[in-house]
Amino acid sequence: MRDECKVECIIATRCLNSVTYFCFLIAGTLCYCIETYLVTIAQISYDLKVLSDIITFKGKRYMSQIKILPLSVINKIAAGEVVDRPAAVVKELIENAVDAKSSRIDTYLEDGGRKLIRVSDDGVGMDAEDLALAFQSHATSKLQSADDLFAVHTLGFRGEALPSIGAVSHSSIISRVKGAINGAEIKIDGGVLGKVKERGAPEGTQVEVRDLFFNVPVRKKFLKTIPTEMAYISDVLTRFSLSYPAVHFTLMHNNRTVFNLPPVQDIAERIAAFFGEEMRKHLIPVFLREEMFTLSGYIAPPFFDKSNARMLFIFLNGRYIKDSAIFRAINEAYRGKLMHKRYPIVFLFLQVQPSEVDVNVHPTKIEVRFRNTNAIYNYVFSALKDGLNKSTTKSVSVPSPLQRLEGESVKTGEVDFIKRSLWEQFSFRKEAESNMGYRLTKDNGNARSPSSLPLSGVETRGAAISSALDGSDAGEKVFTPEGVGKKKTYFQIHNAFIIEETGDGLNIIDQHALHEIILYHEIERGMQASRSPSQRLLIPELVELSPKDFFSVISLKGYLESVGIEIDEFGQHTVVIRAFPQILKHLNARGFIEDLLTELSDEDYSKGKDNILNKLINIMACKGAVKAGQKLEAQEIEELLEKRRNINAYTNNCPHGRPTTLRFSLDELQRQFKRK
Amino acid sequence: MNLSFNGNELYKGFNLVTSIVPSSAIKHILQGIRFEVVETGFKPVCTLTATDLEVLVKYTLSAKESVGNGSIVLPAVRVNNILREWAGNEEVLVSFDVETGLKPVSTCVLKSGKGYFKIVGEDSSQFPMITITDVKSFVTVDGKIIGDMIGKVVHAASTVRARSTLCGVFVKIDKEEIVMAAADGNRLSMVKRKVENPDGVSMSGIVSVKCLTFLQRFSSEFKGILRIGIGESQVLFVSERGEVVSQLIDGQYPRYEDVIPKDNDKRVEVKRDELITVVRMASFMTSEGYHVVKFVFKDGRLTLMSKAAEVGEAELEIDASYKGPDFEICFNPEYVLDALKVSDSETVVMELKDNSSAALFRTGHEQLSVIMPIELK
Ligand SMILES: Nc1ncnc2c1ncn2[C@@H]1O[C@H](COP(=O)(O)OP(=O)(O)OP(=O)(O)O)[C@@H](O)[C@H]1O
Ligand SMILES: [Mg+2]
Repeated sequence: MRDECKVECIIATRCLNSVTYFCFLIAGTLCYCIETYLVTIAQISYDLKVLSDIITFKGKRYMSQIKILPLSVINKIAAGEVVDRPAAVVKELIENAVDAKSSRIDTYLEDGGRKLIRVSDDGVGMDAEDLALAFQSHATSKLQSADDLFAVHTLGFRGEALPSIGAVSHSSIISRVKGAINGAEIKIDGGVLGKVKERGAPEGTQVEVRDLFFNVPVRKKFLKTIPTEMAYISDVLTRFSLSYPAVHFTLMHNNRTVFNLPPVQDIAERIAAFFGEEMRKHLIPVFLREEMFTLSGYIAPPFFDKSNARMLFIFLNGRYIKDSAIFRAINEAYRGKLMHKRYPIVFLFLQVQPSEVDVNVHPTKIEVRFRNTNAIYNYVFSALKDGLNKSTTKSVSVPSPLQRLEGESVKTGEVDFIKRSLWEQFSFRKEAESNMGYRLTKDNGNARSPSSLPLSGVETRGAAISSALDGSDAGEKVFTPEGVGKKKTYFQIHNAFIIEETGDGLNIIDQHALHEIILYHEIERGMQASRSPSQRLLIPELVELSPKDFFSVISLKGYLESVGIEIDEFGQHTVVIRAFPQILKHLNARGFIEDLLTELSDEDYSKGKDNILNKLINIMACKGAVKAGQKLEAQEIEELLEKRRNINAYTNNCPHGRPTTLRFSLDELQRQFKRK
Repeated sequence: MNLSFNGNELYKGFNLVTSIVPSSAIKHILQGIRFEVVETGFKPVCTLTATDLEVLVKYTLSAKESVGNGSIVLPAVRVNNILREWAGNEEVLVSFDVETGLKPVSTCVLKSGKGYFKIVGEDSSQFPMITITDVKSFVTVDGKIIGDMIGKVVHAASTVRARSTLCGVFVKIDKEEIVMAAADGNRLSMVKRKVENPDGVSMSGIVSVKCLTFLQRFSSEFKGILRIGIGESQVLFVSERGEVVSQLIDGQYPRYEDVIPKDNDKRVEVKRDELITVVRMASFMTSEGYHVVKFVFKDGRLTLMSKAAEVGEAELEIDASYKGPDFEICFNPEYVLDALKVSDSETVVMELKDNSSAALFRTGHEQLSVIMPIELK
């Protein structure tokens, strides 16, 4: 039944798209005195079209605003329980307050919302007649006809939230319409509706929900601890306050203030309030405007990654949503910059013509359906890609941790004296340590040290040393200027990192990450030149697979071949590997195929050639690279460092976006040791 | 009891068994060597035993004097260091308490020249032993031949842990022949020799590289006849001077005979030394991930070419007895070098089919390597 409705909706959506929009406007004109009210979200500029979508209706209301929806409309609404925990109640109540054009919304909780949830707003309010209907099923002021379903401009539209809350709690609403003389109150106890009473009240509405689920023991049993419920609730508030920066939000729990967020101009300020100044400093603004679509917001650079997707904040016309197409677009934009299973942080605010999107898909409205998913995907992708590109050209080098720590850039020059004294200390230590198994190796003296990489103001090694040793007493040292200039010191620690002395400080290198990026480039280059060496196997390796994996592998055959893996069907669910990339020669071919299959998700298959190839190279590089924990011989380290010269692009990040090298300059060390 | 040894002999034996001692062991006692004396008629026999639980080595040497039986576990590295210093001494005396059954023997005194060491050892009853359970019959062969065979194949054994059967060397005895074969995913080496097999037994098993490299050392230091027996789960090598027992690697070894190409129609003979030189030189112009040397055969000539981005290129030529249409094939030069290095014949014969089929290198009497080519995709 429900499915049929949906089908109907889709068909209707298609026919009615733009027509609906105008119908809605006309209908609106008849019912309301229209007065435009501009919600300003800082840094978002709207063109007129988009603006008209968020034109909101304010002013003196007619009596009996709320109407019971006709059955035909009710049937078209995505039905389902939405109240499953206190956070859901908070969400519904705040949505209503937002829909009522409130400029301040206060939420008060007791015992994680189990005992009491009270949301007070200063919005348009309800009169006595409205109150009588508010707790009734399918009673809403936000929808008139089925057509309106395709141009929803409010957060609510189902007329379901208050009745479902009222059915499972002791609730009340006290409200006074702006400018009205008297307010009114209505109570509901476990679905039993009381009478509307006149009473004094502040302008706006205050909804109180006590003893949630008192009559639904099963639900009550499934509630989590207070901190967990509070976590859900603060997520809800976080989302609203990001989406509505002009609204003053507060959250109190058992008489303690959790948030107090006065209105702000720029969403970045709210971001900073929740996620820290540090993040705000690095936020990259994104913006894109198309005919029916505006995207604005901020994204964080890749190094702020997260292990889950919870920091993907996507708001569609003010509503927090989750959308797989948009997620994919984000992933795609960050591709190659993030590690496997790491997620970026984004705050995206999309304004789309209401007619372009169906929000009546899911009872909690967290999922939506775009009329043109591809277009949305492309918009989001290109906006983000743009933002990421601009930000990398702006600041070439990722600041080293120390720089970030101190929040200031390092000055070079005029520190020769200190540099020298520090250098001398190093020299002594180095002497002592070389007897303790640290490796000192020769190098042909040309400045191939990585300091020739981006970091600004870096002198080449030889220059730094001679300037450091130009002083008078340098001759006394064991290391003569030339001798020092020709030596390069590196050693491995914890079988995972390489410490390398450079002209102006030191590098700490993640051996796996560096090797990985080197392999990545080698494989890519080999492929472009059609010169990927593929070693034929002495004994072709049989791999038995699940039917699904079998078909995945067969569908990848062409891609695998282009990187040097020759694979054929061999009986029902078995493939035979006949040749394997030379670069992976120390890997077990079967194990690699199995790994590959676990790493490739269903999504990857659908995303097209380049994507799969890229993923394949990524996995090859990752599996083929030395692991952390692997002991490296001096020669291997040297080779690794040497190869670094050949990679041009993202030198500082491995294909997952993880840094390969941390650079510490002498200046920084001096600061840290309070010598400066 | 007091035992007297020649310093050098004692050191040689002790040093040899020390090489099997695991450098780090979960069980501390494994880092020791069991030192046991048994009186057999007129001369006491002293046995040194070391094990890493996979391979167990026993080495026997005779001492000059002794009274009674006894055993103790000595810290391997420490004692080996002492004995190394005394290797030049005519006489080294070892003494520890005779076993009384009352309390375990725990200290040992080493004396030589004008000094002595009193060493804290461990109770020998705690020392793990591998009991030989399932080796039934033996064949006999000169230890030198076995050592030589091992040297010709071990390089090809896989080092990838996940391929445990290929991590060992397949040893097969059938009729009058002993075969050793080792392979990783990309190449195979095989060598065949004669054995004395009076009972006509057939046996085979996968022997760990560690066991064989030890055996190689063992038989080069103490020449003599070796008896070899392979059981269901163990292999046993016995010589006059001691024995090596090892657990076999579990599993089915791939049918290596099937891998050796039979119908490769292009036959090229080249001088081994010349080929080694050019392959090595060509490999200078390769890089990680691009370890490829192209072999180009033209009438009477073999040209090796290598070329790697950011490195450069090389082209080297030698004479070859090749007749036929021009032909190209690529190899990982390391595999070719590995195969050639263990050859002691003057010429090698390459038997080839096409650029994607296995190449056969005949590198000596009953000795060959199969190397899979590389294709550029
Ligand atoms: N805080 C409020 N201020 C003013 N009017 C309110 C407020 N809360 C609810 N209402 C009125 O009560 C009606 C019913 O609210 P309810 O939340 O049940 O339904 P809805 O918001 O229309 O749709 P949905 O079920 O999707 O939330 C709303 O349409 C609105 O007119
Ligand atoms: Mg609502």
